[in-house]
Amino acid sequence: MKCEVPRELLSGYLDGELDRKQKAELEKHLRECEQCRNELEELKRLDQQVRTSEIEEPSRDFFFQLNRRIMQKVKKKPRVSLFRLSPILVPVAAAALVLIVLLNIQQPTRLVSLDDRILYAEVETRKDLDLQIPELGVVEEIAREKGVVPEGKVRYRPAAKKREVVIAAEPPAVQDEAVGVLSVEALQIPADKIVRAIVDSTGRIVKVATGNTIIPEKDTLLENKLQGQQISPPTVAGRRAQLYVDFTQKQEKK
Amino acid sequence: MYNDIESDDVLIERVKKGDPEAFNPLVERYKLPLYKVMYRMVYNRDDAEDLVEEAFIRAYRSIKKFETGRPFYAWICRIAVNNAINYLKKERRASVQPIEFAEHRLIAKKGDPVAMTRQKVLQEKIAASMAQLPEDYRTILTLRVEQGFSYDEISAILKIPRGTVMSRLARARQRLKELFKGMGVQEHEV
Repeated sequence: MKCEVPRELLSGYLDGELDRKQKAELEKHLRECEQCRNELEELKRLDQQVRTSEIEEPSRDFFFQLNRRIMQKVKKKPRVSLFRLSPILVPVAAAALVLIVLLNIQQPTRLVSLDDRILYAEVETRKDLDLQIPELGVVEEIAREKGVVPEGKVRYRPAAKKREVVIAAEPPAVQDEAVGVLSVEALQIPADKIVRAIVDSTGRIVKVATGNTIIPEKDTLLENKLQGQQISPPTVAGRRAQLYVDFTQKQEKK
Repeated sequence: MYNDIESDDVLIERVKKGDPEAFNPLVERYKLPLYKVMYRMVYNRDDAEDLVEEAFIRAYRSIKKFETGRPFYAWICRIAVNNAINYLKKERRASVQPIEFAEHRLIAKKGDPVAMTRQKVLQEKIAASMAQLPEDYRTILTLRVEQGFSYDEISAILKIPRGTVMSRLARARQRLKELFKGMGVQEHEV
Protein backbone atom coordinates (compact mmCIF):
# COMPACT_ATOMS: atom_id res chain seq x y z
CA MET A 1 0.00 0.00 0.00
CA LYS A 2 1.35 3.38 -0.98
CA CYS A 3 2.16 5.87 1.76
CA GLU A 4 -0.10 8.94 1.79
CA VAL A 5 2.60 11.45 2.73
CA PRO A 6 2.62 14.18 0.07
CA ARG A 7 5.66 14.00 -2.21
CA GLU A 8 6.02 17.77 -1.80
CA LEU A 9 6.98 17.23 1.82
CA LEU A 10 9.72 14.78 0.91
CA SER A 11 10.98 17.13 -1.79
CA GLY A 12 10.85 20.10 0.61
CA TYR A 13 12.61 18.09 3.31
CA LEU A 14 15.39 17.19 0.90
CA ASP A 15 15.81 20.88 0.11
CA GLY A 16 15.76 21.87 3.77
CA GLU A 17 12.76 24.11 3.19
CA LEU A 18 10.23 22.69 5.67
CA ASP A 19 9.34 24.64 8.75
CA ARG A 20 10.31 23.24 12.12
CA LYS A 21 6.97 21.56 12.81
CA GLN A 22 6.73 19.95 9.35
CA LYS A 23 10.30 18.77 9.62
CA ALA A 24 9.78 17.18 13.05
CA GLU A 25 6.61 15.41 11.91
CA LEU A 26 8.23 14.11 8.74
CA GLU A 27 11.30 12.89 10.55
CA LYS A 28 9.08 11.00 12.97
CA HIS A 29 7.25 9.47 10.01
CA LEU A 30 10.48 8.56 8.23
CA ARG A 31 11.60 6.56 11.23
CA GLU A 32 8.49 4.43 10.86
CA CYS A 33 8.01 4.31 7.07
CA GLU A 34 10.49 2.40 4.95
CA GLN A 35 8.73 3.35 1.74
CA CYS A 36 9.28 7.07 2.37
CA ARG A 37 12.87 6.48 3.41
CA ASN A 38 13.46 4.72 0.12
CA GLU A 39 11.70 7.46 -1.77
CA LEU A 40 13.88 10.07 -0.08
CA GLU A 41 17.03 8.17 -0.99
CA GLU A 42 15.81 7.94 -4.53
CA LEU A 43 15.28 11.69 -4.66
CA LYS A 44 18.77 12.29 -3.34
CA ARG A 45 20.22 10.13 -6.12
CA LEU A 46 18.06 11.91 -8.64
CA ASP A 47 19.43 15.27 -7.53
CA GLN A 48 22.92 13.90 -7.78
CA GLN A 49 22.18 12.77 -11.34
CA VAL A 50 20.86 16.23 -12.20
CA ARG A 51 24.01 17.83 -10.82
CA THR A 52 26.24 15.54 -12.87
CA SER A 53 24.23 15.64 -16.06
CA GLU A 54 26.19 16.90 -19.02
CA ILE A 55 25.70 20.06 -20.93
CA GLU A 56 27.39 21.26 -24.07
CA GLU A 57 30.59 23.16 -23.35
CA PRO A 58 30.51 26.85 -24.16
CA SER A 59 32.56 28.02 -27.13
CA ARG A 60 36.12 29.35 -26.89
CA ASP A 61 34.71 32.69 -27.90
CA PHE A 62 32.49 32.62 -24.84
CA PHE A 63 35.45 31.99 -22.59
CA PHE A 64 37.81 34.53 -24.09
CA GLN A 65 35.76 37.17 -25.81
CA LEU A 66 32.61 37.60 -23.75
CA ASN A 67 34.05 40.26 -21.45
CA ARG A 68 35.39 42.28 -24.36
CA ARG A 69 32.07 42.11 -26.22
CA ILE A 70 30.11 43.11 -23.13
CA MET A 71 32.50 46.00 -22.46
CA GLN A 72 32.21 47.20 -26.04
CA LYS A 73 28.45 47.23 -25.81
CA VAL A 74 28.09 48.76 -22.38
CA LYS A 75 30.57 51.51 -23.10
CA LYS A 76 28.44 52.61 -26.00
CA LYS A 77 25.88 54.94 -24.58
CA PRO A 78 22.42 53.58 -25.27
CA ARG A 79 20.41 55.80 -27.52
CA VAL A 80 18.01 57.83 -25.48
CA SER A 81 14.62 57.65 -26.97
CA LEU A 82 12.33 60.58 -26.32
CA PHE A 83 9.54 58.09 -25.84
CA ARG A 84 11.42 56.46 -22.98
CA LEU A 85 12.05 59.69 -21.14
CA SER A 86 8.61 60.18 -19.84
CA PRO A 87 5.17 58.86 -20.60
CA ILE A 88 3.98 62.46 -20.44
CA LEU A 89 6.23 63.41 -23.29
CA VAL A 90 4.50 61.06 -25.68
CA PRO A 91 1.09 62.74 -25.78
CA VAL A 92 2.72 66.18 -25.56
CA ALA A 93 5.00 65.38 -28.48
CA ALA A 94 2.11 63.95 -30.47
CA ALA A 95 -0.01 67.05 -29.81
CA ALA A 96 2.88 69.33 -30.77
CA LEU A 97 3.39 67.38 -33.96
CA VAL A 98 -0.26 67.67 -34.90
CA LEU A 99 -0.14 71.40 -34.17
CA ILE A 100 2.95 71.88 -36.29
CA VAL A 101 1.36 69.98 -39.14
CA LEU A 102 -1.84 71.98 -38.87
CA LEU A 103 0.04 75.29 -38.79
CA ASN A 104 2.09 74.29 -41.76
CA ILE A 105 -0.76 73.17 -43.93
CA GLN A 106 -0.67 75.75 -46.63
CA GLN A 107 -3.73 77.73 -47.07
CA PRO A 108 -5.10 77.46 -50.57
CA THR A 109 -2.75 79.54 -52.58
CA ARG A 110 -2.91 77.97 -55.99
CA LEU A 111 -4.25 80.51 -58.29
CA VAL A 112 -6.38 79.47 -61.15
CA SER A 113 -4.79 80.70 -64.26
CA LEU A 114 -6.21 81.10 -67.67
CA ASP A 115 -4.74 77.73 -68.57
CA ASP A 116 -6.71 75.84 -65.97
CA ARG A 117 -9.85 73.95 -66.58
CA ILE A 118 -12.08 73.68 -63.58
CA LEU A 119 -15.11 71.54 -63.30
CA TYR A 120 -17.80 74.11 -63.50
CA ALA A 121 -19.99 72.21 -61.08
CA GLU A 122 -17.18 72.37 -58.57
CA VAL A 123 -16.35 75.98 -58.92
CA GLU A 124 -18.01 76.85 -55.67
CA THR A 125 -17.02 73.72 -53.79
CA ARG A 126 -13.32 73.56 -54.55
CA LYS A 127 -12.19 75.22 -51.36
CA ASP A 128 -8.65 74.06 -51.91
CA LEU A 129 -8.26 76.44 -54.78
CA ASP A 130 -7.89 80.12 -54.43
CA LEU A 131 -9.92 80.89 -57.42
CA GLN A 132 -9.13 84.07 -59.13
CA ILE A 133 -11.17 84.55 -62.15
CA PRO A 134 -9.81 86.92 -64.72
CA GLU A 135 -9.97 90.63 -64.34
CA LEU A 136 -13.03 92.27 -65.66
CA GLY A 137 -11.09 93.68 -68.59
CA VAL A 138 -9.91 90.23 -69.65
CA VAL A 139 -13.38 88.79 -69.41
CA GLU A 140 -14.77 91.59 -71.50
CA GLU A 141 -12.05 91.12 -74.05
CA ILE A 142 -12.71 87.37 -74.31
CA ALA A 143 -16.39 87.96 -74.60
CA ARG A 144 -15.90 90.55 -77.31
CA GLU A 145 -13.44 88.39 -79.22
CA LYS A 146 -15.86 85.49 -79.12
CA GLY A 147 -18.64 87.76 -80.15
CA VAL A 148 -20.67 86.47 -77.24
CA VAL A 149 -21.81 89.86 -76.04
CA PRO A 150 -21.53 93.29 -77.46
CA GLU A 151 -19.26 95.75 -75.79
CA GLY A 152 -20.34 96.95 -72.41
CA LYS A 153 -22.94 94.24 -71.91
CA VAL A 154 -20.90 91.85 -69.78
CA ARG A 155 -21.96 91.84 -66.17
CA TYR A 156 -19.12 90.44 -64.22
CA ARG A 157 -19.44 90.07 -60.51
CA PRO A 158 -16.32 89.07 -58.61
CA ALA A 159 -16.66 86.69 -55.70
CA ALA A 160 -18.37 88.18 -52.69
CA LYS A 161 -16.30 86.01 -50.43
CA LYS A 162 -12.90 84.62 -51.01
CA ARG A 163 -12.86 81.29 -52.75
CA GLU A 164 -16.36 81.76 -54.01
CA VAL A 165 -16.80 82.43 -57.61
CA VAL A 166 -19.87 83.64 -59.26
CA ILE A 167 -19.81 83.84 -62.95
CA ALA A 168 -22.76 85.47 -64.41
CA ALA A 169 -23.40 87.01 -67.69
CA GLU A 170 -26.41 88.60 -69.10
CA PRO A 171 -27.90 86.76 -72.02
CA PRO A 172 -26.25 87.87 -75.21
CA ALA A 173 -27.85 90.85 -76.66
CA VAL A 174 -27.38 89.39 -80.09
CA GLN A 175 -28.67 85.85 -79.97
CA ASP A 176 -28.04 83.47 -82.72
CA GLU A 177 -31.40 82.92 -84.33
CA ALA A 178 -30.91 79.18 -84.78
CA VAL A 179 -29.84 78.66 -81.22
CA GLY A 180 -32.37 81.09 -79.90
CA VAL A 181 -35.29 79.04 -81.06
CA LEU A 182 -34.04 75.91 -79.45
CA SER A 183 -35.20 75.39 -75.94
CA VAL A 184 -32.42 73.85 -73.84
CA GLU A 185 -34.99 72.19 -71.62
CA ALA A 186 -36.52 70.52 -74.67
CA LEU A 187 -33.36 68.61 -75.49
CA GLN A 188 -33.76 64.91 -75.03
CA ILE A 189 -30.78 63.56 -73.15
CA PRO A 190 -30.97 59.94 -72.00
CA ALA A 191 -31.13 59.59 -68.25
CA ASP A 192 -28.01 57.39 -68.09
CA LYS A 193 -25.92 59.91 -69.99
CA ILE A 194 -23.65 62.44 -68.45
CA VAL A 195 -23.28 65.71 -70.20
CA ARG A 196 -19.92 67.38 -70.19
CA ALA A 197 -19.70 70.85 -71.51
CA ILE A 198 -16.95 73.38 -71.74
CA VAL A 199 -18.04 76.87 -71.06
CA ASP A 200 -15.99 79.98 -71.22
CA SER A 201 -15.63 82.53 -68.49
CA THR A 202 -18.85 84.18 -69.47
CA GLY A 203 -20.82 80.95 -69.14
CA ARG A 204 -21.07 80.38 -72.84
CA ILE A 205 -21.06 76.72 -73.94
CA VAL A 206 -18.13 76.07 -76.24
CA LYS A 207 -18.05 72.28 -76.58
CA VAL A 208 -20.31 69.44 -75.51
CA ALA A 209 -19.79 65.73 -75.07
CA THR A 210 -21.94 63.00 -73.60
CA GLY A 211 -21.47 59.52 -72.36
CA ASN A 212 -21.50 57.41 -69.25
CA THR A 213 -17.81 56.81 -69.00
CA ILE A 214 -14.92 58.92 -67.86
CA ILE A 215 -14.03 59.76 -71.41
CA PRO A 216 -17.14 61.06 -73.05
CA GLU A 217 -17.90 61.02 -76.71
CA LYS A 218 -18.14 64.13 -78.68
CA ASP A 219 -21.75 64.85 -79.44
CA THR A 220 -21.79 67.06 -82.49
CA LEU A 221 -25.55 67.25 -82.66
CA LEU A 222 -25.86 68.36 -79.07
CA GLU A 223 -22.90 70.69 -79.44
CA ASN A 224 -24.46 72.32 -82.46
CA LYS A 225 -27.62 72.85 -80.55
CA LEU A 226 -26.01 74.12 -77.37
CA GLN A 227 -22.96 75.99 -78.56
CA GLY A 228 -23.18 79.60 -77.70
CA GLN A 229 -25.87 79.11 -75.07
CA GLN A 230 -25.28 81.01 -71.91
CA ILE A 231 -25.71 78.84 -68.90
CA SER A 232 -25.84 79.49 -65.19
CA PRO A 233 -26.30 77.54 -62.98
CA PRO A 234 -24.50 74.51 -64.39
CA THR A 235 -27.34 72.43 -65.62
CA VAL A 236 -28.18 71.35 -69.09
CA ALA A 237 -31.77 70.64 -69.93
CA GLY A 238 -32.56 70.86 -66.25
CA ARG A 239 -30.07 68.14 -65.35
CA ARG A 240 -26.92 68.62 -63.37
CA ALA A 241 -24.02 68.34 -65.73
CA GLN A 242 -20.28 68.26 -65.63
CA LEU A 243 -19.28 71.52 -67.10
CA TYR A 244 -15.86 72.97 -67.49
CA VAL A 245 -14.98 76.57 -67.28
CA ASP A 246 -12.49 76.99 -70.04
CA PHE A 247 -10.13 79.89 -69.79
CA THR A 248 -7.97 78.81 -72.66
CA GLN A 249 -9.98 80.26 -75.42
CA LYS A 250 -7.94 83.38 -75.71
CA GLN A 251 -4.66 81.50 -75.89
CA GLU A 252 -6.01 79.03 -78.37
CA LYS A 253 -6.86 81.87 -80.62
CA LYS A 254 -3.24 82.94 -80.56
CA MET B 1 43.02 46.21 -12.01
CA TYR B 2 40.52 44.12 -10.16
CA ASN B 3 41.07 40.77 -8.58
CA ASP B 4 38.95 37.92 -7.37
CA ILE B 5 39.15 39.04 -3.78
CA GLU B 6 37.00 42.09 -4.24
CA SER B 7 33.43 41.43 -3.27
CA ASP B 8 30.49 41.80 -5.60
CA ASP B 9 29.31 44.82 -3.63
CA VAL B 10 32.63 46.65 -3.95
CA LEU B 11 32.72 46.03 -7.69
CA ILE B 12 29.09 47.05 -8.15
CA GLU B 13 29.66 50.28 -6.25
CA ARG B 14 32.54 51.10 -8.58
CA VAL B 15 30.41 50.37 -11.61
CA LYS B 16 27.72 52.61 -10.20
CA LYS B 17 30.29 55.37 -9.81
CA GLY B 18 31.14 55.16 -13.51
CA ASP B 19 33.91 52.56 -13.74
CA PRO B 20 32.71 50.01 -16.34
CA GLU B 21 35.89 47.93 -16.05
CA ALA B 22 34.82 46.92 -12.54
CA PHE B 23 32.06 44.91 -14.20
CA ASN B 24 34.59 42.51 -15.78
CA PRO B 25 35.30 40.41 -12.66
CA LEU B 26 31.56 39.99 -12.18
CA VAL B 27 31.24 38.64 -15.70
CA GLU B 28 34.15 36.27 -15.08
CA ARG B 29 32.66 35.13 -11.80
CA TYR B 30 29.16 34.35 -13.01
CA LYS B 31 29.25 33.67 -16.71
CA LEU B 32 29.60 29.90 -16.38
CA PRO B 33 26.90 29.24 -13.77
CA LEU B 34 24.64 31.55 -15.77
CA TYR B 35 25.48 29.68 -18.95
CA LYS B 36 24.45 26.40 -17.29
CA VAL B 37 21.06 27.83 -16.36
CA MET B 38 20.54 29.29 -19.82
CA TYR B 39 21.65 26.10 -21.51
CA ARG B 40 19.22 24.02 -19.46
CA MET B 41 16.47 26.37 -20.53
CA VAL B 42 17.12 26.64 -24.26
CA TYR B 43 19.25 23.57 -24.96
CA ASN B 44 21.32 25.33 -27.57
CA ARG B 45 24.86 26.54 -27.03
CA ASP B 46 24.75 29.62 -29.22
CA ASP B 47 21.42 30.77 -27.86
CA ALA B 48 22.55 30.16 -24.29
CA GLU B 49 25.71 32.20 -24.87
CA ASP B 50 23.73 35.03 -26.42
CA LEU B 51 21.31 35.01 -23.50
CA VAL B 52 24.17 35.20 -21.01
CA GLU B 53 25.67 38.15 -22.85
CA GLU B 54 22.32 39.89 -23.02
CA ALA B 55 21.74 39.30 -19.30
CA PHE B 56 25.05 40.94 -18.39
CA ILE B 57 24.37 43.91 -20.63
CA ARG B 58 20.89 44.34 -19.17
CA ALA B 59 22.29 44.03 -15.67
CA TYR B 60 24.95 46.63 -16.38
CA ARG B 61 22.41 49.07 -17.78
CA SER B 62 20.17 48.76 -14.75
CA ILE B 63 22.94 48.41 -12.18
CA LYS B 64 21.77 51.56 -10.39
CA LYS B 65 18.55 49.76 -9.47
CA PHE B 66 20.51 47.00 -7.77
CA GLU B 67 20.48 47.25 -3.99
CA THR B 68 23.99 46.76 -2.72
CA GLY B 69 24.13 44.05 -0.09
CA ARG B 70 21.74 41.73 -1.86
CA PRO B 71 23.05 38.71 -3.78
CA PHE B 72 24.15 39.84 -7.22
CA TYR B 73 23.99 36.39 -8.76
CA ALA B 74 20.35 35.89 -7.78
CA TRP B 75 19.59 39.30 -9.26
CA ILE B 76 21.31 38.66 -12.58
CA CYS B 77 19.82 35.17 -12.68
CA ARG B 78 16.40 36.70 -12.39
CA ILE B 79 17.18 39.02 -15.31
CA ALA B 80 18.54 36.14 -17.38
CA VAL B 81 15.75 33.68 -16.62
CA ASN B 82 13.02 36.17 -17.41
CA ASN B 83 14.77 37.14 -20.59
CA ALA B 84 15.07 33.46 -21.54
CA ILE B 85 11.40 32.83 -20.76
CA ASN B 86 10.46 35.68 -23.11
CA TYR B 87 12.86 34.32 -25.69
CA LEU B 88 11.33 30.85 -25.48
CA LYS B 89 7.82 32.26 -25.77
CA LYS B 90 8.88 34.15 -28.84
CA GLU B 91 10.82 31.40 -30.48
CA ARG B 92 8.56 28.56 -29.35
CA ARG B 93 11.54 26.30 -29.35
CA ALA B 94 11.31 24.84 -25.87
CA SER B 95 8.89 22.06 -26.71
CA VAL B 96 10.73 20.83 -29.77
CA GLN B 97 14.41 21.27 -29.43
CA PRO B 98 15.19 19.39 -26.20
CA ILE B 99 13.51 16.27 -27.55
CA GLU B 100 15.38 16.62 -30.82
CA PHE B 101 18.52 17.08 -28.79
CA ALA B 102 17.85 14.01 -26.71
CA GLU B 103 17.06 11.80 -29.69
CA HIS B 104 20.04 13.10 -31.58
CA ARG B 105 22.44 12.34 -28.76
CA LEU B 106 21.08 8.86 -28.15
CA ILE B 107 20.95 7.85 -31.81
CA ALA B 108 24.41 9.21 -32.41
CA LYS B 109 25.90 7.20 -29.59
CA LYS B 110 23.93 3.99 -30.02
CA GLY B 111 25.96 3.11 -33.08
CA ASP B 112 29.16 2.74 -31.11
CA PRO B 113 28.33 1.17 -27.73
CA VAL B 114 31.64 -0.58 -27.30
CA ALA B 115 33.60 2.63 -27.24
CA MET B 116 31.39 4.12 -24.59
CA THR B 117 32.04 3.43 -20.99
CA ARG B 118 29.14 2.49 -18.77
CA GLN B 119 29.34 5.86 -17.09
CA LYS B 120 29.19 7.62 -20.44
CA VAL B 121 26.04 5.78 -21.47
CA LEU B 122 24.47 6.71 -18.17
CA GLN B 123 25.39 10.37 -18.72
CA GLU B 124 23.76 10.31 -22.12
CA LYS B 125 20.58 8.85 -20.71
CA ILE B 126 20.44 11.41 -17.92
CA ALA B 127 21.06 14.27 -20.32
CA ALA B 128 18.39 12.96 -22.68
CA SER B 129 15.89 12.64 -19.82
CA MET B 130 16.64 16.17 -18.65
CA ALA B 131 16.18 17.44 -22.17
CA GLN B 132 12.73 15.89 -22.33
CA LEU B 133 11.53 17.58 -19.18
CA PRO B 134 9.13 20.48 -19.74
CA GLU B 135 11.00 23.78 -19.75
CA ASP B 136 9.53 25.04 -16.46
CA TYR B 137 10.53 21.81 -14.70
CA ARG B 138 14.03 21.97 -16.11
CA THR B 139 14.39 25.58 -15.07
CA ILE B 140 13.24 25.07 -11.51
CA LEU B 141 15.36 21.93 -11.06
CA THR B 142 18.40 23.73 -12.37
CA LEU B 143 17.84 26.70 -10.09
CA ARG B 144 17.36 24.50 -7.03
CA VAL B 145 19.47 21.41 -7.51
CA GLU B 146 22.29 22.70 -9.66
CA GLN B 147 22.47 26.34 -8.58
CA GLY B 148 21.36 25.85 -5.00
CA PHE B 149 18.91 28.75 -4.79
CA SER B 150 16.50 28.73 -1.85
CA TYR B 151 12.74 28.54 -2.41
CA ASP B 152 12.43 32.24 -1.61
CA GLU B 153 15.08 33.13 -4.15
CA ILE B 154 13.48 30.93 -6.80
CA SER B 155 10.14 32.50 -5.98
CA ALA B 156 11.66 35.93 -6.67
CA ILE B 157 13.48 34.82 -9.81
CA LEU B 158 10.50 33.10 -11.41
CA LYS B 159 7.92 35.48 -9.92
CA ILE B 160 5.82 32.64 -8.54
CA PRO B 161 4.61 32.02 -4.96
CA ARG B 162 6.80 29.99 -2.63
CA GLY B 163 4.13 27.27 -2.45
CA THR B 164 4.24 26.92 -6.22
CA VAL B 165 8.01 26.54 -6.07
CA MET B 166 7.59 23.68 -3.65
CA SER B 167 4.89 21.86 -5.60
CA ARG B 168 6.55 22.43 -8.98
CA LEU B 169 9.84 21.06 -7.72
CA ALA B 170 8.12 17.94 -6.37
CA ARG B 171 6.34 17.40 -9.69
CA ALA B 172 9.55 18.02 -11.63
CA ARG B 173 11.37 15.39 -9.59
CA GLN B 174 8.56 12.88 -10.06
CA ARG B 175 8.50 13.53 -13.79
CA LEU B 176 12.26 13.14 -14.07
CA LYS B 177 12.07 9.91 -12.13
CA GLU B 178 9.58 8.57 -14.67
CA LEU B 179 11.79 9.70 -17.55
CA PHE B 180 14.81 8.00 -15.99
CA LYS B 181 12.83 4.79 -15.72
CA GLY B 182 11.76 5.15 -19.35
CA MET B 183 15.39 5.57 -20.37
CA GLY B 184 16.49 2.60 -18.31
CA VAL B 185 18.46 4.59 -15.77
CA GLN B 186 18.72 2.33 -12.75
CA GLU B 187 17.92 3.74 -9.34
CA HIS B 188 21.31 2.82 -7.93
CA GLU B 189 23.20 4.35 -10.81
CA VAL B 190 24.95 7.64 -10.29
